[in-house]
Amino acid sequence: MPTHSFLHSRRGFLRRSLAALAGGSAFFTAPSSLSLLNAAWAQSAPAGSDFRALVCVFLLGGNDGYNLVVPRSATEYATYANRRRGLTLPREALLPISPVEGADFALGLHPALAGLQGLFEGGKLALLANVGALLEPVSRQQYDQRTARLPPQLFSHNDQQAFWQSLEARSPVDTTPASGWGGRIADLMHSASNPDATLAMNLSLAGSNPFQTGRSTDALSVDLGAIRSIEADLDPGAVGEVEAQLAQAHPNLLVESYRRRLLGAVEDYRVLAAALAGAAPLSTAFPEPPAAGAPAADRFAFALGSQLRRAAELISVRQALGLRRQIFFCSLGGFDTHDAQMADQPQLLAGLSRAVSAFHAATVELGVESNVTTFAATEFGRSLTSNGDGSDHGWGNHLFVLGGAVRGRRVFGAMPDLSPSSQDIAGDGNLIPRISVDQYGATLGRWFGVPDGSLGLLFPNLGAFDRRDLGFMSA
Amino acid sequence: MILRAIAALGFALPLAASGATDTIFADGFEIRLDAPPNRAEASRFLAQSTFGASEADLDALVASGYRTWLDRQMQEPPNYMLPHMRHAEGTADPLRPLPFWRFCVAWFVNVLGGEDQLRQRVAFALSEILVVSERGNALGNDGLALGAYYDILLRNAFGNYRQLLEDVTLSPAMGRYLSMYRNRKPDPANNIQADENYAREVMQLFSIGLVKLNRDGTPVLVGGRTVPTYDGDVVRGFARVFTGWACHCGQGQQCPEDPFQQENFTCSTEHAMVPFEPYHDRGEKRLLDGAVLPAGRDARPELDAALELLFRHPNVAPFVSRQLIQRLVTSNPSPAYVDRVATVFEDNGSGVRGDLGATVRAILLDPEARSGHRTAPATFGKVREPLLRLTQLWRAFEVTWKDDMLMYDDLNIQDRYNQAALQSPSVFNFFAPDHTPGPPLAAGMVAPEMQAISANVAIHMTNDLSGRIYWGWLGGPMDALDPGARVIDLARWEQLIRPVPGAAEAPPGTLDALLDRCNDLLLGGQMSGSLRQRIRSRLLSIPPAETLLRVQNVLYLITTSAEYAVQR
Repeated sequence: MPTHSFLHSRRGFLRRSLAALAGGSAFFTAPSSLSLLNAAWAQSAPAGSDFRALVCVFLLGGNDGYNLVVPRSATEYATYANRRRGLTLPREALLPISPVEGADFALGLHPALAGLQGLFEGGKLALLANVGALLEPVSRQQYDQRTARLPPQLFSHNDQQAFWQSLEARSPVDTTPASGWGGRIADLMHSASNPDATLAMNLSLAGSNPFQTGRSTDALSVDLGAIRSIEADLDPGAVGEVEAQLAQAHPNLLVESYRRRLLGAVEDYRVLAAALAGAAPLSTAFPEPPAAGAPAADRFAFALGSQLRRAAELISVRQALGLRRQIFFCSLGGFDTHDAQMADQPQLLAGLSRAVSAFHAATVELGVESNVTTFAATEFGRSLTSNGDGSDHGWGNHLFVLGGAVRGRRVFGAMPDLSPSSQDIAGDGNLIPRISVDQYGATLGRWFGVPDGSLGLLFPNLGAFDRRDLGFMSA
Repeated sequence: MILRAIAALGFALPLAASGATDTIFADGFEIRLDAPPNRAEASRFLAQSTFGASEADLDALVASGYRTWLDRQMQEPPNYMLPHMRHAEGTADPLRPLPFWRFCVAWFVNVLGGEDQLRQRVAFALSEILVVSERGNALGNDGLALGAYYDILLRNAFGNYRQLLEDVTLSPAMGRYLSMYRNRKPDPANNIQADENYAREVMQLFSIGLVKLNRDGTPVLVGGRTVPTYDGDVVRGFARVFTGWACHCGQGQQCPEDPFQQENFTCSTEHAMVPFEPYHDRGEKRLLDGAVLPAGRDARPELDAALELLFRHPNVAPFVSRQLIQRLVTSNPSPAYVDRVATVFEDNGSGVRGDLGATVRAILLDPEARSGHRTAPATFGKVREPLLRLTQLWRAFEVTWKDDMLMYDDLNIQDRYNQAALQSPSVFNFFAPDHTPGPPLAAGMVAPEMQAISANVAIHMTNDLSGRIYWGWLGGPMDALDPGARVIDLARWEQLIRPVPGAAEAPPGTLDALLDRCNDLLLGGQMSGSLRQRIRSRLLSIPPAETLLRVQNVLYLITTSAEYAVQR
């Protein structure tokens, strides 16, 4: 295998022959105005007192949540095992949990979720049973008779990712710009809550996504590695020309679209680099890069852990960025377990559990444990039945929420009836959600500071449901 | 009247003096389609149909005309992946596993050096519609399966979509990626259903899409609402069709008698999957629009019937045509453009449906492709796919390399470009055909590639291009450091602007010639006045003797500009 790295070679060459040109870049020195701003902000509000962050961990592909939390009591376990057959987890392997509220029978977590088990038992993590995409409550009869009003294209990955993140039941002929509920929260709150902001409220560690797309605000995609601006090491003077040209508007809209993105990136990355240069290093250990031949869990832990580590760093420099409210988006792929689910899902969940546990520890280290809420999302549940060695696309699903402000060690929502006479399971075998994503999001949004009167604007289907707040966040 | 219109629009008609010419009428004025009038138009055409073009390529196209060029390209012998990979690995064994990095090397060798540019470009487009990926659980580091898959796309690039759909369906790579491989009939006693994965995606992504379409690609509306093409029952029906397939056992391979009971060999050969009837569902199946497959049929005839149903569905022509237009020419084709291409997809003129060669020809020769930059300057074009920004720079300046082996960074090109052949993050490709980044795009406009070009990717690409231009030139630092470095040749461009002995400045007119020629090569002659002025001032600020730095500045300021980021 070749080992030459273009960048490394360039850097090495530079060191050898052009050392004089290196360094001195203005991009990496903090503008003094930022430090002043920071000081003023710190005076007006003691650190952590009015800071809140939401961290979305999106499990791409549709995690099989029925094996995330599993009945452990004999009767319910037998019913579960009868449904799932080849997808059944051994009862004795389940990690026991002891909810103080919300469980009618004994439950356990997937054996790979040791970290989450500890957080649940420690009162930091809550489970949500049977959440899913809904426009209004749906009965089995309505679903089976096809009279229910349903979100568009249930069971399609990209459509359900878009619905979960936008809550908009869009028609393909709708040409108004789509927006996500994270983006709409920023539209509403950014200027009021972050008056001194030098950066967007919405920061993505996983590229562009529907969730953080606002109508009037944009998300910024942040690198997981070094934050660099535009550089031309052998011809630094040309960089100014590139940037000057980026200031020139162009009549073609596609050119404009790209121009504004790169121009915004240049400006934002200057701010980011300055802020992160002043960040104190985290002592919390995040998952390391996987060694050759390491189990897949190491790869998943590192993939998600690197995103969450950068999120923790961005939380640590919130004052330099002038952000009292931050929304982060992270994702982990591979959950579409049509094949080899019993081999693959444990690796995925182990990686998830390790990365999320490390992140929680980092929030404790930063003294913001109760200011940061991490919530799991995934486009759909899966089929309860096996397709031989995996599961297919489903609907309702079990999820978790984590943080010091979460009313932990509780289960919110009813665990579904998996018996043959169940009214929770439709004729085609899909689990019908009893909690909507609108309710889930509105509960988080309310904690984040969205005024009650605005919840309906941000969560367009909320009015169809009785409860606007599921109660899993403390005030 | 025509002349008046032309004068008003302020551009010149092609006035080549050759004899018989095909003329068509577009928006009231006449366009000659047989030959591009100049390098700029040739450059626009080749940006749509190749991985990049040098001045020699532009001149050859001006001389030959579009149709002859297309004819020749379709006759070019294909440069396949597996032969290259096996040669490099030093093996003739069709069953020998190949590491995936061999595929990455072969891909760059073929797209940068292959004469079959149109085939390579169309195959790449198809790889973004009929997606399999090395990323994910099924195909990690399996260069053999993925090379074989890409060769299917290359082989069928100008073939028939029906054959392509079948080859893809039965390929071991797709079988494993979307789990049709070893998919078995339902087992009600054990509560086991057929796997729905391939059934769902072959409809949603590879053939008909989610809603019924008019031939012009717009959705059919009934009472203002779109009409679904299928429901869950149809998915379950197709899932049962796609049961009973597993890998062919090659000569000399130790294979289990029943691969459904025991999987003890890799399934990554070039050979299509084969049926194992005991695992095929022989029940009656309801498929699209009420079509029923009768009970009692074997796996293969049933597969044929099901693929035929998909292939004959009215959605296929607009669904495939529109996406191919988006990959090659423009993100927002007019419905009329889609309709013209879909019409050819439906019937190539000889009664054949699904002729991809004819479809590609229709896409590239369409008046909207050839003159959209004039007729709809605010909206025409597409954001260049990340990898094409690089390959088009390289090929424009006659890229060479000493060793096929890629440098580490080029093996991991997705780290900076967020795109690499057969390494999409999911079956939904690097970007969705309907992705819109919102304003400043007008309502309803899409820019799919922008989904992959987030802020950090835009910066990474900009900085990577700087490395290619300042470090990666023939005789330059990367050339000395790594024989696998792809290097551009800047010598004759330096020569063009080198001051004659005793002179203080470049020969008269040569700086403008440099700008004009690079404008043609990289921007299809559409450089804005402000960009040109900025580069010109920059050139004059660099000492005339520093010819290399001057040429590099032209390339750097063009390829990092927002104008170059969009293919128009």
